Amino acid sequence: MAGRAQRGLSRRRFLKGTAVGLGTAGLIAAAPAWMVATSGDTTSQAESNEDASTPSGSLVAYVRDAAKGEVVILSGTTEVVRKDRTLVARLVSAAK
Amino acid sequence: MSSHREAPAISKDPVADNTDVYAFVSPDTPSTVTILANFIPLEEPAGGPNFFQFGDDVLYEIMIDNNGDGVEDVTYQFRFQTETQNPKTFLYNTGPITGLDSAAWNLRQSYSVTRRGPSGLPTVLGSDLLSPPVRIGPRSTPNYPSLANAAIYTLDGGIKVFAGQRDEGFYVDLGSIFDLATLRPFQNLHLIPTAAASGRDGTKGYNVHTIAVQLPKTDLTQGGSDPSDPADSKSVIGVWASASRRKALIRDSDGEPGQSAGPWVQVSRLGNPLINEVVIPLGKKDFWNSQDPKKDHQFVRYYRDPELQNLLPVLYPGVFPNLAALLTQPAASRPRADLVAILLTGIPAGIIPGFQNFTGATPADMLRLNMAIPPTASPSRLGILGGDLAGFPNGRRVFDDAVDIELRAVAGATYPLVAPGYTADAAAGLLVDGLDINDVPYLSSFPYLADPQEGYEHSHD
Repeated sequence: MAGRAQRGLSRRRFLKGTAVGLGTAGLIAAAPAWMVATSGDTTSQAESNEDASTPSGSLVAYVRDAAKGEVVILSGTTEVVRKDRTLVARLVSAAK
Repeated sequence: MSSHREAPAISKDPVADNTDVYAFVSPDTPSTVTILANFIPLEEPAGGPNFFQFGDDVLYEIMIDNNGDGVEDVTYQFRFQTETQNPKTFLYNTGPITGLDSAAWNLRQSYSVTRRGPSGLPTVLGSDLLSPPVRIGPRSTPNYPSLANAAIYTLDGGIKVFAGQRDEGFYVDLGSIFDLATLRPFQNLHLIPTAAASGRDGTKGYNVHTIAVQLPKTDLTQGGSDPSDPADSKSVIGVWASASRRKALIRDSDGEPGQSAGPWVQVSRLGNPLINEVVIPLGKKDFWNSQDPKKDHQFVRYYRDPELQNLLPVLYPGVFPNLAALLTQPAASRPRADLVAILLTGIPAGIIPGFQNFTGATPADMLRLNMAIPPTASPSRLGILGGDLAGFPNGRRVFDDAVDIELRAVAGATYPLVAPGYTADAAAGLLVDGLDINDVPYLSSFPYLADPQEGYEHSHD
């Protein structure tokens, strides 16, 4: 299940998903504003298509291992582990 | 206890703590199998004002493996939902609850039942089913048996289901066993002796929450076959239960239940009684709970050389001379293949006349039930050890004395089955904790466990 979800989840979609999570569930109270802004700034037709399959409800992302650039994303009943040093760096920076 | 508070993490999460699992051919409806999964250990009946309930945020599952690979082929999932009718009162009930539609019943819990077959596709068998109120007292829950009976549902396909509070049917001298494995009837022989005494029921007067299903046997077998031949491997199923929680929980700051996300994570599981309790070491207990039976090969060494086996000759000096002599040999040379068979693979044909519940070489901790063995007219609490093929470890009935059976087995009573040259100590066949039966009678029909103890009037003495 995680593998299937992982294949279908791009970084941009993750960012948009985070925005959806913020909007619908008020989750990740400490989520940085840049994430929402980034999502809006990079919207494209392709991403709009992705929205149709974006799971509703809560989405949680946490940096499991900053040194390895690992982010775990929990959405619906799926778990995706992304290795993205840039994303981790931005999250860590935003948390300061 | 059987699996009550048996691991450090789950002991702090009672709503998800699977305490006992039973699986047996229904004595009054032998074309069906009854499976019971109990949760919430040691419920004090006078637990108001917020009485015990199932967890709305817990996924409860009963799993059936019908091809011996330790992987569930049929799953029954239960999800609960609580509604408060009147949040402006502190009362669980605002008057006598005389029926499941009573307006006086304030805090109600309903549930759904979903079946997943080999295809994995879910089928909702029932929804908005009511769990009955807890048993409070003569003013709040008069005529409790009728309340509970009203919460027994018959679903399509002849499936019966019940989810609610029951009397704790597991009996054990809890106070003595975890006092350095003392057995009161034999404590005069203990390393730290005191006068022998009768056993005391440590679970007397407590309740549990039970999920009960009664299923046509043909719903559980490979290809829907009707098990009629005890020698047929397709007559045997493996049964276990589990509880899972979502991976992430974000607590809201307003005191309301928070948001959850992520996959379900198993936090409790149970097949055979007492295994995670006394076979699995402390450092592995929570891990054991998280694992599926198909991965139990990693725990086989604890079954082959159980710690309790090694403790008995030390704690009861001179009582188990044959076992003590056996233990002087290297552990690798004396694996308890009898325990591995009883608990992890099933008992192959040819060892006990007329019986087998072997599911293959895959070690998996499940209750193994040969459904072709009919219920016994005069059952023995000692199950197969008592010559009763319909009892534990052929599945498990509510009255089976799992404590005495496993004590005797671990002490070596069953070792001659795989080591004919070994003579079990006389004491191994006599071990008891001094309790032979529950404090209140079981029911003769579904859900078999007695009505719960009443908060107003109950006793632990």
